[in-house]
Amino acid sequence: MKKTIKDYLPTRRRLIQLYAALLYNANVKGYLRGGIFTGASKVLCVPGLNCYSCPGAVGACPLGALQNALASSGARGPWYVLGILLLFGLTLGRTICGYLCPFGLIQELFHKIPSSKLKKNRVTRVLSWVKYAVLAVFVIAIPLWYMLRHVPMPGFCKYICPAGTLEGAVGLLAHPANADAFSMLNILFTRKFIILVLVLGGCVFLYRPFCRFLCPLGAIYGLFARVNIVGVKVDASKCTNCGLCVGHCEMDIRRVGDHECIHCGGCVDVCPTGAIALRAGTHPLRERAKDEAPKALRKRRAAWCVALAVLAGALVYCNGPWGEIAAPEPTAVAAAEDELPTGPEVGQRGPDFSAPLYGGGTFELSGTRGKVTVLNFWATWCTPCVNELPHFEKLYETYGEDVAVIAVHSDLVTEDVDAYLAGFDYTIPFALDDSGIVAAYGGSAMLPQTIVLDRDGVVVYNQVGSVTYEQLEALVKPLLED
Amino acid sequence: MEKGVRVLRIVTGVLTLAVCLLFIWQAADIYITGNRPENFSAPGVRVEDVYSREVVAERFARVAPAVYGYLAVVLAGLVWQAAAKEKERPRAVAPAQTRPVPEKRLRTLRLTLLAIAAALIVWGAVNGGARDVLVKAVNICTECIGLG
Repeated sequence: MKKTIKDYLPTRRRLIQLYAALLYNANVKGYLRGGIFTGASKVLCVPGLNCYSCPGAVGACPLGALQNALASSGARGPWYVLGILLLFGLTLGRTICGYLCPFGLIQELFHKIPSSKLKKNRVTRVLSWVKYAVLAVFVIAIPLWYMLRHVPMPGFCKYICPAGTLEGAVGLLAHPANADAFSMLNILFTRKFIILVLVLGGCVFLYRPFCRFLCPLGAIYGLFARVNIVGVKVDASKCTNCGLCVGHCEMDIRRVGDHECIHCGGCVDVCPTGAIALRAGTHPLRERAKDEAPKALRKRRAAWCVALAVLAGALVYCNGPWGEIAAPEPTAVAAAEDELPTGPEVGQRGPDFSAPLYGGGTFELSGTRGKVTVLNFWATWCTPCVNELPHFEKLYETYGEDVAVIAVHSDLVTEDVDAYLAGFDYTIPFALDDSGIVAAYGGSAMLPQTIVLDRDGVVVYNQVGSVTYEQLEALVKPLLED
Repeated sequence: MEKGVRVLRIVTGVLTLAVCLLFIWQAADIYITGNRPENFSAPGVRVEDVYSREVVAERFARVAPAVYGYLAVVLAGLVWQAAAKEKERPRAVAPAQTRPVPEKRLRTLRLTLLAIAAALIVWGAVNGGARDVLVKAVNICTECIGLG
C-alpha cells in the first residue's frame, strides 16, 4: 500500500508525550542560565519520571519525592507523597507510562533507530519482575535503612536513575556556568553514566527496556492495573480471545490492561471486533477509527486548546519574574579593611556574617580572625552533607586550637535540627543561615559547599561538592604553616 | 529493498553497540586515569580532578568523528526505513484469562481509594510533607543526581 503524508505525521500519543515533556520542563530559562527552577509549583509531583534537578523541571519527581519522604519518615510520615501516588495510580495508572512519561518518550525515540529488534519472550517476561525488586530494595528498603542512621539516602536516584543522570547531571553539566561541578565527579558519576549509556543503547534493540525491567514508578502504577480509571479496557461481550492484541503489544503483557500494559492503545486498531478502547471509566477516549463518534474530533480539538493554554500559562509563569522563590538577600557584609574586595571568589575577603547557633549563642565570623576558618554549608536533608560532617568534626578535634569550623544549615529547614544533632556527639558549632550567608558565598541550590578562609579572612577555597578529611587537611595544613 | 533494510539494521545495530562501548570506555578511562597513584599528592588528595570540562571536551573531540558518522548513518537509515516500512502482521498470542472485578465493587473500591488519597494529601500538606517535597525539589542534592 502506498504511503501518504499522514503516515509520517506523529501520532496523537506522540503529541501528548511531547506535550507532557514540555509541560514538565517549562522552565526554559533554567537551560539558558544553568540553574534549576525554585518556584512553588515544585510542591506538586508530576506523574511521570522527570528529575527535579533538571534545569527545566517545574514539578517534583514522584519517585525522588517518595524516597526522600521515606528517608525522613522518622520525623514525619510520607503521607503526602503516598497520597499523590495513590491518586495518580488510581486515576491513570500505567497510562502515565504510555502517555505522560518523558523518559518513556526518550526510550521510544531511541527505539526508532534502525536495528534488529529483540522481541518479548520468556526471558523478558521474567526480567519484567526485576522492577519490583528495584522498588523494594532501592526505593523502600535503602531509604528506610539509612533513615535509622539519620542519613537521607534516595537509593534509586543515587545508584540507578538514568533519568536523573541525563536530565539532572548531564543537563546541568552541559552549561558553562556549572564548570566547577565537574570537580566533584568520580566513581558515582562514572557508574551512573555507564548505566545511562546501557539503558539508551538497550532501547535501540529492545522496546522501553527501562520501563519493562527497572522502573520502580511503573511498578507502583502497575499495582493499580485492576482499578485504574483511565486505561485500555476490553469489552468482554465483543472479545473473541483471538490474541492479536497480546501478540501485537511490545510490552510483556499477558492480557490487555494487566500490570505490564502501558495503555498506549496500540492494540485498539488491531482488534478485529473493536472490543478494545481507551476509556476514562465508561467514557471512550480512543476507539477504532471507524467506531469513533463524529463529535469526538470536536471534543479533542477543544481539549487541545485547553492543553495549549495551560502550556502557555506554564511557560509564562515559570519564565517570568514572579515564578521563583527569592533567595534571602545577603546582609551584614562588612566594609573591606584594605584594598581587597569582599566576595566569595578565591583571593577575595570572605563576607562577614553573624548567625544564630543551634544550642544558643551567636557565631561571628569576625571573631575567628587570626585562625584558619572552615565554613561548611549543609542541610539535614542532603545526603552528602550529613555524610561529610564527621570529617569536619575530626578536623575540629585535630586542629581546633588554630582552626575554626562552622557548619551552617541551609535556610530551608525540614526537620528539627536541634533534635537531629542530639543524635550525634558533634562538638563543632552549628548555625542557621537566616541572613543569606550561602548566597553571600556564591552558593546556589547545590549542597554541600565548603569554604576555607585563611588567617586574614581571605577565601582560599570555595567549592560545591563533598570533601574528604584528607582534602580538608591538605587545604588547612599549608595555611597553618604560613 | 527489504534485503537492503535488513542489512541496514544489522549495520546500525553493530554501530550502536560500538558507539555505546566507545562512550563507556571513555568514561571508564577518565575515571581510571584520574585515580592513578601519580595523581595523588597525599592519600585522598588529588593533584588534578578526575573530571573537568577540558578533559571531557578533549575526550569527546577524540570520539566525535565516530559519533557524527554514526548519527549520519542513523539519519540516513531512518529515512530509508521510513520509506520502506511495511506494517508487520500481528501474530496471535492467547491472552491470559482473569475474572473481572464486578462493576459495583470496582466503583466502591475506587471511591474508597480516592477518599484515602485525598485524605493522605491533605494530612501530608498539613504535617509539612508538602513543604518537604518543595525543599528537596528546589535544591540540588549533588549525590542524588550522580554528581558526587
